[in-house]
Amino acid sequence: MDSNYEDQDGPGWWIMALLGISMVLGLVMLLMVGCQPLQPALRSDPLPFEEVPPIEAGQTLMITADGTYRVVLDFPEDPPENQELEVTGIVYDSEGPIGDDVEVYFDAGMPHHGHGLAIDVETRRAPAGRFVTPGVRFHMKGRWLLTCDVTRGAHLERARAWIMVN
Amino acid sequence: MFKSIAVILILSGLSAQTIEAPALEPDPISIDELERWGLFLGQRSWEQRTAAICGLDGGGFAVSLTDGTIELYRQIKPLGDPSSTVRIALPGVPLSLLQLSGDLFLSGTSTGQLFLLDLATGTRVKEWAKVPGGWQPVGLAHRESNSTILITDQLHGRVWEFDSSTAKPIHFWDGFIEPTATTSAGDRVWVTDRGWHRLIPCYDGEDFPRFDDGIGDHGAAPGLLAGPAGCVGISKRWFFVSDSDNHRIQVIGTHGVSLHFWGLHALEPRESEGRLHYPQSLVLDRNNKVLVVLEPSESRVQIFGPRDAESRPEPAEAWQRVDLISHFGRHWALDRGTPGFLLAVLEPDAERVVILDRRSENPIEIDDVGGHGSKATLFRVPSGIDFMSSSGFPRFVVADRGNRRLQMFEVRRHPDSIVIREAWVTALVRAVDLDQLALDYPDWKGSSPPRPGAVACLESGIIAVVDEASPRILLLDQFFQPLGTLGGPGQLRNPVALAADGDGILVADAGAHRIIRFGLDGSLSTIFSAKPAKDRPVPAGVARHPDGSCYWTDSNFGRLYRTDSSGTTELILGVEDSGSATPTKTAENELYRPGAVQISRDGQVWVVDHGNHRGVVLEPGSSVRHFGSGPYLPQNQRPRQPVEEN
Repeated sequence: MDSNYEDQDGPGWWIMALLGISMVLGLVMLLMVGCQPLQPALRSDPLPFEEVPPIEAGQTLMITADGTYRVVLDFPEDPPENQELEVTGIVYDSEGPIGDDVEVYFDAGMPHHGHGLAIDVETRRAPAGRFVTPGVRFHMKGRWLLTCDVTRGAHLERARAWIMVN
Repeated sequence: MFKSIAVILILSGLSAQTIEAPALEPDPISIDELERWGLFLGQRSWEQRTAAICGLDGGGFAVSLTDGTIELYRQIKPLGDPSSTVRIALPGVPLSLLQLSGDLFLSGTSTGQLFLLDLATGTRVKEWAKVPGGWQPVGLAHRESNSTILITDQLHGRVWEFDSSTAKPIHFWDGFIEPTATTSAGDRVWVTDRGWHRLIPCYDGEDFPRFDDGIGDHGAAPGLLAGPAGCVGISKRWFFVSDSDNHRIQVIGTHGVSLHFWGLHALEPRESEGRLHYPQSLVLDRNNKVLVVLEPSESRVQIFGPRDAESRPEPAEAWQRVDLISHFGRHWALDRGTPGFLLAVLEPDAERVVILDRRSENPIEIDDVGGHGSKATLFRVPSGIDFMSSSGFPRFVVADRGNRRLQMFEVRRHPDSIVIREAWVTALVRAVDLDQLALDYPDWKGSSPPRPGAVACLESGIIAVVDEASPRILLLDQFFQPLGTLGGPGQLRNPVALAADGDGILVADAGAHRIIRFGLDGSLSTIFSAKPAKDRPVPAGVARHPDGSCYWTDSNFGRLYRTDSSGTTELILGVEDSGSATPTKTAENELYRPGAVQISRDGQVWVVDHGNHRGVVLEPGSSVRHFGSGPYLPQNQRPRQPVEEN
């Protein structure tokens, strides 16, 4: 599915490139100023995501803003209005599907109308990086924002995507 | 037949016995009278900032000022001159006050101490009580049902119960987010919590308050609360609650029903006579049947009683608001892009961050993010903000004291886009739970979980956050991974603002009355330090100008200063002699309770004039412009009133 999300937002490859450059520069600068107590935990490797399969029909790819996680969402091409559906997906980090200790929370809302889902949903983790969110109901037509929060320990990162309910 | 009648009579007698309700204890103030409360009876204001109030045995109230002065008012109806005035030097600033007995009073201070004061001799007798791990005693109250004292500790989010004669702790209730005041009604203790926006009951024998049974929630409709900052029990069933950010007092029952409310945001600057501005502590004088309301933002108290049964309140005061009033908070930030075009403002009243395009004379709101809650993107007392220097879309970091976390947002708007409001161009990037992070990172461990305050983001990507609990500065990288700390209790007292300064951080320390600079290597230099004096500045904001000088605000006396590299300090805005200030303090060169100062790359100085609900911008050519709430703008900038035709 060609999601129409965040086209204008585009924190894509160039952010990753800038990130890489800034990481190297940052490390060099820290060494130069002799700032030994401050050890930045910057990533030094690119994020390969080799295990993420090609996106197929009926799937949507969501990427967290700094590219730490990729979420392959099983999502219908034409999501139904006012009918319950079960949203499932797999979350990957650079090494493969996330571990069972990582929490995932899927949600949706219509920011332009100032509301979320009419009925709150809960997300359940499953093995091999999978998650399941039953009871998702888009109760009106229009542009919906999907969000997927991935929480590992103290840290949460968000991926988002826009979809249309016709 | 007779048997049937007898059975019916017996049964009816039994049923009558069964359904008989226990007699309700009459309220000391009738419901009818409570519904008429809100008649303005008088006021008093001070040049020095007010800190706390408490009731007096036999009627009247005492007020303490930030310079340690305590004034006692026994003649209250009508309000007379103080019956006595005492000045007792205290470390830090007084936060709370309570008459223990006779001339003995307790006063909590910003240094985390609780002192016993003797007003007869004008002396600080001793530190009355301490607790392991320290505290911040922001509220004091007598418990009605026994001889104990309730102490509201904002540092750990606790309410302590102490024996008033031995000064020994008896018990505490734990788990509050930001408790502000305590009262008792019947056998329960009730606590206003600014993080929950509720009045929360506590029961004897339980360690945790019953949060789910709390009264209210965040909002503006009657029965909802925004920043509850004071409470006082009227009877076992009714309370007065100071609904601070809604600028009103509510009469609320233990069943959660709002019986009545009064108060309306001031229509004109510094207006009183029933208009309220961030009311906080309350004193119910039962002898005189008046409620004393402290408004620290205006350095004043107002006194209210019940209206005559025949009179009616102003129609405007009977409005039932459903929307929260939005104001500029104390913190705001400018984006660092080239060209920079965004201004992000913290609005604690609405628990939101408002994002504006700042290129026009009156910045235009393009989005907002937040709302009250604990889910991602929501806030419980946003307490600091700064833009990052990252490339790409502008990013900013918000500290959230109530949720003890940081959140990073990205504004996905190009500078050349049409300037219109568009929901959710602001996207959450990441969040970190500082409480949990401190557990994982041994260097951050302390006696209490971090309470994030002001934020500064350095060019190198390092993020600095004030930890109000310690106090110290926490350092993180742009992925919110911990890097270390700066400062500590010996070096910092009450840091309220930070600013990025090359490879260092500028700190406005309100508690120490100074502006300092930390290098990332831990070096410390003093830029400005105020000597003890009557008009000693209390720094509230700081920033480095491209010309090398340092701008900083004084919230106490409404001033903006500039300290150059030689250490010379000059007044830029505000008046040197407070006696020459205008009554409204809204003139072009005046500030009232200013907060953050930020400086753009091209040298514009942006000051949030928090107490005047307006922004002030000093252009590089030294001209000044203002934007914000119409009545608070300087006379020549106010919208013209329509002229009535003859």
